[in-house]
This record gives sequence, structure tokens and C-alpha cells, in this order.
Amino acid sequence: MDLRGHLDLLLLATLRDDGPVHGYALIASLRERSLGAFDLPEGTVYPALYRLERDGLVGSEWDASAARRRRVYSLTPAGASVLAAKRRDWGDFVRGMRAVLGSGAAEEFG
Amino acid sequence: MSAIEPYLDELFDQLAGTGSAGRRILMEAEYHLRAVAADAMTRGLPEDQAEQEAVSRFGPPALVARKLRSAGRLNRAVSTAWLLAGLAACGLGAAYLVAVWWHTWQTPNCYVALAYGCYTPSMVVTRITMATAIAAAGAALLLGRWLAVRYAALTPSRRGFALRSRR
Repeated sequence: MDLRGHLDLLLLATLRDDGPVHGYALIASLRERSLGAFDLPEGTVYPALYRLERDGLVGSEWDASAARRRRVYSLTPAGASVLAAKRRDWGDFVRGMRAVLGSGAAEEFG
Repeated sequence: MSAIEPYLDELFDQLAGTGSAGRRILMEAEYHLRAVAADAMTRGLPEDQAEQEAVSRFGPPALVARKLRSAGRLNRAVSTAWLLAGLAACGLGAAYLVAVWWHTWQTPNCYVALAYGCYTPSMVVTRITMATAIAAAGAALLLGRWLAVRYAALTPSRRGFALRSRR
């Protein structure tokens, strides 16, 4: 499934629900919660996380407690605000799509 | 044969020129690949298949590197624009100073603006001040950019390039 334009929202939402988490666990959680629908190339998530961190929406630090050093990501207050705004936009988009596609779409797609 | 090591070598080649972001992605990739392979081995896959699965799930190294480069594109554009603005201001200020000096040298005894193109001493001082201010603004821009790069607020504007894999 093409996640272009939606990956940021998905990553921010997963970080909000899972709390501070390293990249591998974040990707696994995203795949699990989407019931396998969002099975994207895992390596592309790290550049997206890097971009979100550069924009101040995500914070990260090295976790040296594991056998290998790994980076742990968390949502910043700015990230939480952006997530809320993106969720609102997404809600409007879904309502609009359902209105156009008809009432049958609601039952078909859940 | 391990699939992870050659994959990391290829990713390292592809990430050439991406600086600290690339180094960080490389470290995260190694942790990720080994974790995925370990999980797959726990599920009962042999080591070589587990590593192959980890590598194929991570995606082609060129794709990962391209995503990282596109993530830093705006940053690089700002960095380059900042550098060009600083160089342009320095160049303009220096050219203006040379022009004023040249003009004054051509008309050394001109104390009153009687003729077209004749600079009085106060006019010369005004022009030198303007030229110096422009050059100083350029120097301040370059210094500010250097500090931003130095303290990692901005990536260098060098062009990223990928070395061709020898394999």
C-alpha cells in the first residue's frame, strides 16, 4: 500500500500510543496495528524519523542499555500538536470521502 | 554467507556524502537488521535465510539513501542559499570598494562636485561606508552559516554523491 503523505501521521500516532520506542519496535507496532496492511520497506522509516526529528516533532536519544546501541524515539509537545491537527484533517478527509462514495462505503470499509 | 554485512557495505557506499545523518542511519540499520534476523531465527529459520529476510524487508540500499537525501533537501537548499547570499554580499561590497577607490584614484583632486562623476571627500566616505557595510553583512552571513553548520543546526551544502559499488 502506498503510504505517501500519510507516513508522518502514522509514525506520530504510533509514537503517541507506544511511548518512547526504538525504530524496530515502532515499525513492528505499525505493521501489527495495521493488520499487516502497512508493510513498507522498513529502511524507509528511519529517514522519515530523521526528518520528523529535524522538524522538532520527534525527539531521540541513544539507548546504551541494550547489547547494541539503539536510538529511542519519542513524541515532542510540538509533535503532539501536529498529530492532533493531522488527525482533524484526516477525519475531515474520511467524512468527505464517505459522503462522496456513498453510505455503502462505510459498511464496506468499516 | 552473511547477507547483512554486504548489505551494510552497500548502504555505506550509497550514504556517502550524507554526513552525520547517514552515519546514524547506518548504525540504526545494523541494529535493526540483526534484531530482525534474530527474531526470524527464533521462529526457526536458519541463519542465512533469517539474514536474507531481514535485508529484503529493509528495502534496497539505494532507496533508503534516496529517502534520507530527500529528507534533508530543504535543509541543504537553505544552507546553499545562505552561502550564496553571503558570498554575493561580500563580492558586491568588495567590488563597490574597488570601484570607489578606482574612481577616486582617477580624479584625485576633486573636492567639489562640479562635474558629473566627481566625488567630494564626503561622497567618497559615504560610498566607502556603504561598500564596507555590504561586505560586512556578507561576512556576517558567512560567519552565521559557519556557526550553524559547526553546531549541527544545518547540514553542509556539499552535493551528496553515491560511490559505485565494486561488487
